[in-house]
Amino acid sequence: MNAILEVKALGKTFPVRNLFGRTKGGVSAVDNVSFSLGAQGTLGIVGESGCGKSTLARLLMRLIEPDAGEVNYRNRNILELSGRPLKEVRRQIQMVFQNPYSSLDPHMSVLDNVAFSLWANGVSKGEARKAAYEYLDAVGLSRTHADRMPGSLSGGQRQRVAIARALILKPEIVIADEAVSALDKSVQAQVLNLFQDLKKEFALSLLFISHDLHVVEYMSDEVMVMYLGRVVEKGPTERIFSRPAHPYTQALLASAPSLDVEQAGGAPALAGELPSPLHPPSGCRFRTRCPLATERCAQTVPALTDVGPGHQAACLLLEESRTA
Amino acid sequence: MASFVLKRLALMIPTLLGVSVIVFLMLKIVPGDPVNAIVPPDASESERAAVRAQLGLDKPLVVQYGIWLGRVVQGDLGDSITRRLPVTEMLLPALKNTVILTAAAAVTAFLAALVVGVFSAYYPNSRLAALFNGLSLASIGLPNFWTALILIGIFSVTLGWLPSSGMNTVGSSGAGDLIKHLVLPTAATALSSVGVMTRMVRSTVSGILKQDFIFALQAKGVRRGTILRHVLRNGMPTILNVTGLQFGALLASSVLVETVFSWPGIGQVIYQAIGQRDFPVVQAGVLVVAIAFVLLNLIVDAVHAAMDPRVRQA
Amino acid sequence: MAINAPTTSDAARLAAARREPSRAAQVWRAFARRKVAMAALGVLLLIVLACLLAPWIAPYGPTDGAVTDRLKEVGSPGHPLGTDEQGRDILSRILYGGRLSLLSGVLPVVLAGLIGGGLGVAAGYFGGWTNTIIMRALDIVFSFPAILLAIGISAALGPGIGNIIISATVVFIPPIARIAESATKEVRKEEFIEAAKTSGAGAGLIVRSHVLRNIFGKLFVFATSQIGVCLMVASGLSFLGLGVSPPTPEWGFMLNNLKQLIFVNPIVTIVPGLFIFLTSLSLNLVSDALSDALEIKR
Repeated sequence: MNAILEVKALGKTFPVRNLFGRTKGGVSAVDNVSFSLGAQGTLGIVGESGCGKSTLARLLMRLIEPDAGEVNYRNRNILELSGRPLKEVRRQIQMVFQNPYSSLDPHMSVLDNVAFSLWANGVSKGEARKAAYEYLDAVGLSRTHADRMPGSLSGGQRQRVAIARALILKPEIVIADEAVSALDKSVQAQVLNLFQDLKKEFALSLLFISHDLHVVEYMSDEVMVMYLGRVVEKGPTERIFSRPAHPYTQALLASAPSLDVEQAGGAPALAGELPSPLHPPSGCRFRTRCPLATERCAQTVPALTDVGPGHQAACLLLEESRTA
Repeated sequence: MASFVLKRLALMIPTLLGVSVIVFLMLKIVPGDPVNAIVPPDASESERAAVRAQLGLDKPLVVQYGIWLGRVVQGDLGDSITRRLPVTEMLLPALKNTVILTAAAAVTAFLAALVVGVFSAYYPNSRLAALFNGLSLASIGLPNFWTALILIGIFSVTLGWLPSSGMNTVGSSGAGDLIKHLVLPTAATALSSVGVMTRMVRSTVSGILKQDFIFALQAKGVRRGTILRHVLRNGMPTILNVTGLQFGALLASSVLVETVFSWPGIGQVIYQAIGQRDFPVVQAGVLVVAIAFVLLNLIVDAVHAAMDPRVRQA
Repeated sequence: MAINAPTTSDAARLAAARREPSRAAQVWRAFARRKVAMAALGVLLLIVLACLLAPWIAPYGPTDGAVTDRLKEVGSPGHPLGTDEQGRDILSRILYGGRLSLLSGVLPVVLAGLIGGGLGVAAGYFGGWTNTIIMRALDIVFSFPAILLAIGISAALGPGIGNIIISATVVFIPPIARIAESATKEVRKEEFIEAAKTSGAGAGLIVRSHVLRNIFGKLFVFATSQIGVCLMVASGLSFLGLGVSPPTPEWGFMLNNLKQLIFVNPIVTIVPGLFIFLTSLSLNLVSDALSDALEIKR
């Protein structure tokens, strides 16, 4: 698989300041995250809220600057770019945001919301608007929709606009950050299918972020599971969903609502609460809720080890069973 | 409590410095070369330069500010151009008179707002309450210097009941005379704030009346007068706080009212100095009032904190 | 290429929706429902129009008059509002003077809106040191009591309506800047600003296209609420003699001239102040109703 995007050891800690501005600690939002996205593939990133998925998306877009690591787009580290080359690379990676109600400017027409991306890149207003009509058409919105204000559109329609806006710059990679989470189930299905169609039509590579396992399973070729800022498991979708290796993934799958009666029982459900990101547990961050945790888990940070073809998980018990 | 006051005092210092910077800058924007006021028009360049150096005008702005500030802190506010007196001598007695007027206006406004506000809260649907509501809304647009003129027109000219200027009549002294002279200026100053305060009192008291403990008291058969006492005790911190905040506004607006009544306060001094182009006096007057304003706010804050412990935690 | 082509029933629904009234029409309707505000608006328009048309509708010139005609009563033949201490017709002077008074009430707010708005947006959008420096400097000015600041600046610059406008502008810059700054900070957090950044737009373009539109409503409402206050501040300064010089008419200044004569003809002396009051009151009522009407759909 030729990777179009390779991320290595990406990290970000948000400093927490006290009253006088002195730093008294930090929230480790993303820690040592590495993955690759294949050309025209879809990587699903899944985890509970607070696991760092959205921060990760913003780090990739450089809306927030990472503290550590590399983001290699077509073998160039975009973290080292600035000015004109950065602007050109930015066009190639676009994002669809989660909240359809705040991701469009309410005081601009739907058309202009989409056309703005082109204006920002030197295209004339007339040309940009023409292109915007075409892209809105591609996502299923007619000219009448285009000339109206976002306030009169439904959530699903607004997400379509957001998608059109992301596509108009003809990116290679689209990051969908919880793009369907705010929509009704019935509308979700429509928008997901739209994503699939557009992916084929525009030859996109997709980074699909969600907390909803079913959505991730449906959309992705590969899946990456995150917990409290770290990668705990990643691999091909069928393997992750049929043979999850990490205790967290297993618990996640067990607790997901399912119509499959036979799936009741099996792996234990998730106990306890998410630890505070200000003081994450030492060693393996999942150990406070892991039914299999040992003393070693508090002392050593587990590294990703192979558990199958293209399938890796970060758990000391898996390391031990391999070396055993 | 003491730490609260100290903290507030510490915060006050940058504000006072800021005030002083602005007043200093006012002096600097006066058009024209101040040297011209001292040297004759045919003076040579070297003479002018000498005077400039003597006045300290050749030094950088920040240094000039420092020198000026040093003098101010020691109580030297310069000399009046027209009266050739130290400005401080002119201002201190005037300050006392302004304080008298402002305090009287504050008390009056407070009492009036209390009565009208409580009434409006108890009988919100009465015609009288609607009238008061309309009046208080209108009073926000009332220029206080105009109100002063109207009051004079009615009470001094037409009815002849009250004097229209000064602090006392020549030849008489004593509290009665002072009060007669105080009535109209107080009313004029108070009217500008009473609208805002009435609305605040009304909304505070309305809020309290809706609370459960009032129902409990009524159910117990407690007399209305006693209930009123409870209500007032509950609402007093907020009401006093609003009054306190208005002190500053009252102080500032008394400047205009004084000029109408020739009340010998700082406002009057500033006004006369403006007319005589005596700028050091104007500047000093503005500085004194501004400082009084800041100090007043501090006192209000401290009193509020003393009464309401929750404020101290903030 | 289209995924979901609109059907005929879609088209019908869309056509019906196109007749949905524009936002301006909605706001106007909400405003018009309040009778008091409409009356105030009427009074305001009447006063403004009358003053603007002064050269055509005033019965006399602003400086015409003979001392022998001084201090005629209100309602005298030929002088519905009486004459002043130099025999000039008060109604005509009110009309001519109103232009300067209204100007000194509106122009400072407009200027402060531009300057204060610009400062506030810059402080709100860029944050960090820019914000600290701008807002601290403005706080210092803000902590100075308004009328005093205006008096101080006016007295320093010297008399003249231009200087009144300058000092009033300075007084109103901090409050307007504060509103602009907080509104900008709120808008900056929105996702569409993030989206705009990802498309590579520079700060200038984002501010021009997105930020300004989204803060304009709040700014406009606040600014209009300040016009009444500004009118009172400006006329107050004029009343103290810091504004126009004789014989130019202006409401505050006329009040100053006439006040010595209150014992001779009290009603005439009060007339200019009545206009200040009416204009200020109407402005307050209109601006209150406007801000309520704009709340309706947000």
